[in-house]
This record gives sequence, structure tokens and C-alpha cells, in this order.
Amino acid sequence: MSEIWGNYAVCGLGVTPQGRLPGWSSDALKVEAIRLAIEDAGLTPQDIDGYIYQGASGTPQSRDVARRAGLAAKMVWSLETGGATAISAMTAAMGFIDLGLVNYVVVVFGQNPATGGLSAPRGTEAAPTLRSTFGAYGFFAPGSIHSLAARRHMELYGTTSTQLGWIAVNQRANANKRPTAMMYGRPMNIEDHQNSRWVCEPLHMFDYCLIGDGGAAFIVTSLERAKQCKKPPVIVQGTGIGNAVRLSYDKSNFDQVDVAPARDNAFRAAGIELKDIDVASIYDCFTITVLLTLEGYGFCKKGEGGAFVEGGQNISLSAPIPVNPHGGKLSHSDMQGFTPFVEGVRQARGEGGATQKENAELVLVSGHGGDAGSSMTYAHATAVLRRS
Amino acid sequence: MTQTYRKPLPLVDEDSQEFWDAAKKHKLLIQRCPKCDTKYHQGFVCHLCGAKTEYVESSGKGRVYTWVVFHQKYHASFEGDLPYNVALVELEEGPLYMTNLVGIKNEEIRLNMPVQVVFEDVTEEISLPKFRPV
Repeated sequence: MSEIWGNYAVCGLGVTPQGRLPGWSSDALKVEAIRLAIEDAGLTPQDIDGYIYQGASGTPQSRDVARRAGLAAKMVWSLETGGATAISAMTAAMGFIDLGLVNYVVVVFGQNPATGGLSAPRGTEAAPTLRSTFGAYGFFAPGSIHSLAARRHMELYGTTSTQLGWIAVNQRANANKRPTAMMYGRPMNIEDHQNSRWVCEPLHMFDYCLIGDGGAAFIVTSLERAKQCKKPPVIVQGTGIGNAVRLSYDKSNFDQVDVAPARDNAFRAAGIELKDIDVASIYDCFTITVLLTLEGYGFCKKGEGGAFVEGGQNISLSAPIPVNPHGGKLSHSDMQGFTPFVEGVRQARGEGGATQKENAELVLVSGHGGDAGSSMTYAHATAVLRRS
Repeated sequence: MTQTYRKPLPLVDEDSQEFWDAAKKHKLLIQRCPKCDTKYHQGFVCHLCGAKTEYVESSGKGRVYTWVVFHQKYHASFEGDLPYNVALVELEEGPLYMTNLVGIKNEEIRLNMPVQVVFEDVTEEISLPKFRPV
């Protein structure tokens, strides 16, 4: 086994306020998140020699953030694989540190769609062949692709909209115990979910995640260096990646997300099984994403996700493995893959507030994202984090 | 027609020119691998043997693989159609094709329902393959 696993850690975490933040540009949110992460680690900006931001063509090119944040970065890079970016960038950072090229890499996300406006819905822009064809049929937005998968799950396995609703209701209950959540103080029950309007049937509005402004950053370094930092290190026991483009050739990409290779690599690296996990922070752009992800990790058998989440007991704070104790993207905040990642770090540090899993030692974090709005060929990433 | 049609049109490029030229003649093309006969929709390289695919005509017959109904307006040109369906049809040759189902109420759509291609001439250049129940 590579000596990387267990010898690298997250040593700093910075999270800006979340929600509607008028006056904040996405780059300003990144700068502030980085400043907070450096402060959290007890480092100075000049210690940071690597900078990776989540970005792609069509999103702000945040290369100047490194200068604005005072970093001494040798690498100023973007990495974009949607909601799998946080885990993927952390993994890349570990490799570059292990090669001796850099020592401390800050990974950052920042966006302001709530006050800054969304870019044009996917499918409406002049785009490569497949996506522009979808627009011609009126097919837009990432939720719609997931809705196609939800319909298949319902047709093949008898899954119901109410069952999906329990995922949203459980996470809303958790968010109402976390004052930083966008939906704090706004309870929701299963009737509220069912009464929310259809967006892309069979998904209701409350099957969709929030849209909000916010930034988050974390710093990756060797365990040895992390031990000198202000906070206890959060050790990276294993990570893994997958992508449903592999599954598109036999069309199973509409029946699952590509959990298996990511899970297998991460669990093997960490030397664990699912039952060893204490708490799970699962990427949740839509309720159906959580259901497919839980099936992929083996919380239940394929096709049994609906029955598993019904009533919420198997995913609640009192379940053997609580799912999304912060409320996730559905009810806490909207930072793509950084939302589950941040909670993973917090749970491993014991900073989960009223929804902290007691004595949590091993935390599962998942990421999912990439090709929103075209062909259900999403990346999947797994991280197993451990309390030190 | 071109002046009044406001919905997004497919981008016709060097890869898809042949497909849209055929659609104009109401023929639905798919791609096939000349070496191993695997069929694709917009797959330009065979994932099994790496050969460049070539266009062949599809029977235009298929089954409903999955579908959704849009209630949210994402693009003003579809406002008058709400709620409208978008479906994935599994062509009998294998590939999935994203389309609208016509000649059927949204609530009557069923999994695996047999369907057949029909063409809507939306502009002088573009005819959109859609599918109706058989």
C-alpha cells in the first residue's frame, strides 16, 4: 500500500457565511475563505505554496485570487469536476506534496449565484452537439438528467416520490439544529415536500438543492506538518475516483452513479468496510443522488433505496451511520462538493455542533459532478477521513 | 418558418452534418462500428475497438427507456408547451435517443412503450426526430 494513505491531512478549514451575500464577488469569497483557512491552521499566507481553485471555462477565472490572498504559490491551478472537485483536488494535492513539489496546498471554492445571478441554463448556450440537441427538445438543467434516473428507479423498483421526500425531510431536520444552515428555522415535513411544485416531474422543488452564495477553503499538507498546526489534523485514510462515462456504454449510467471504483479504492486504501464508518457526508444535488449513492456504497441493496430511506430512521442522527448531519446542499448550503467535504472535516474534528456524531472516528465523504445537463456521465469521488 | 421558430436549434458541425442532412430527408441515422458492429448515437469512436464509426440508417423503432415532464420554464420559447415531456427512447439497435414523445398525453406515457420516429420540420434546415406510440 502506498505510504501516502494515512500520512496526509487537512490542517486548515475556512468557511465564509452562506446564503445571500450581496456585495461579495466569487473571488472575494475565495480570498476570505483562504484567509480563514490559513488562520484556522495557524499558518501565514506565505506558507501556502500551492493553490487549486474549482473553475472551468464559463466560470470566473480566479487566478488572481492567489495574489489577493497573499499566497506564495508555485502552482496556481484550476480543477473542475463539478461536485467531485474537493476530493479530487485534495487527492491531486497529496500527490504533488508527496513528490516534493509543494508543501501546503489550499483548495478553494467560491460562488455568488444567489445575488450575482446564474449563468444561462445548460442547454441554451451554443454548445457541442449532444447538449445543443437536448436544448432543441426543451431539455435543460442538471436536475432534469437526475429526474430521468429518478423515473427509472420508480418504474423499475417501485420507488415513490414520498420516499425521496424523506431524504429531504431528514436533512431539513438536521439543518434546523445547525445555526449556520440556510434553512435554519425553516422546518419542513413530508407533506410540505409533497406539496412543493413540480420542477421536472418526478422531482419536486424540495428534491432540489439550494442555490446560495459562499466560499470554502481547506489546506492539505503532510501529517507531520499538520501536527504542528493549530487544530488537530484530519487524516486522509483513502480516496478514490470514478466516472459514469464508463457506464454509459451499457446505459447503466441512468440506474446508478459510478460509486464502485471510487469506494473500492478508498476503502481498500483505508483498510475498512462500510460498517466501520461512523458518519456519512453524501453529495446531494438532488434527493435521488443521495438514494443512488447510498445504494452504491451498500447501505442497502440496489433497488431498495426507497424502502431504506422511508421514514428517515436509517439515515437520521440516531442511525448506525447518520447521513448528512449538517443538512447538506438540500438544506445547509450550496458549495457543490465542498458542502459535504466541509462537514466531513468538521465531523472528524468534533466540530459538528448539535448534530455531531459522538466519538466519530471515521467519516465517509462523497462527491458527484461534472457533466451537468448532458448525459448522466458524472464523476464520483470518495474520501475516508479519520480523526487524529 | 425560420423567422418564427424561437426554440434552440441543434448546433450542426462537422460531426453532425450528415445526421441533420438525413433528418431533413426524414431518415434517422445512428453510428455503427465498421469492425465490431456496435451501434451508437453521437459516438464517434467505438469504445470497444477504437475504430471511427460510420453513419447508418436506424429503423426508427424503439421503446421508452425513461421520461420526465417539465413544469419549470427554463427557456421562454417552451413556455407555451408546459408541461411538456422529454424522453429517452432506446432504439431497437441499442442507442438511447433524447426526444419528445408526440401524439400522447404525458400521463399516459409508460416504460417500455413501443414508439416510432416521426419528423418535425421546424426550419428549412432542421427536421427534429420525435417519437409517437405505435
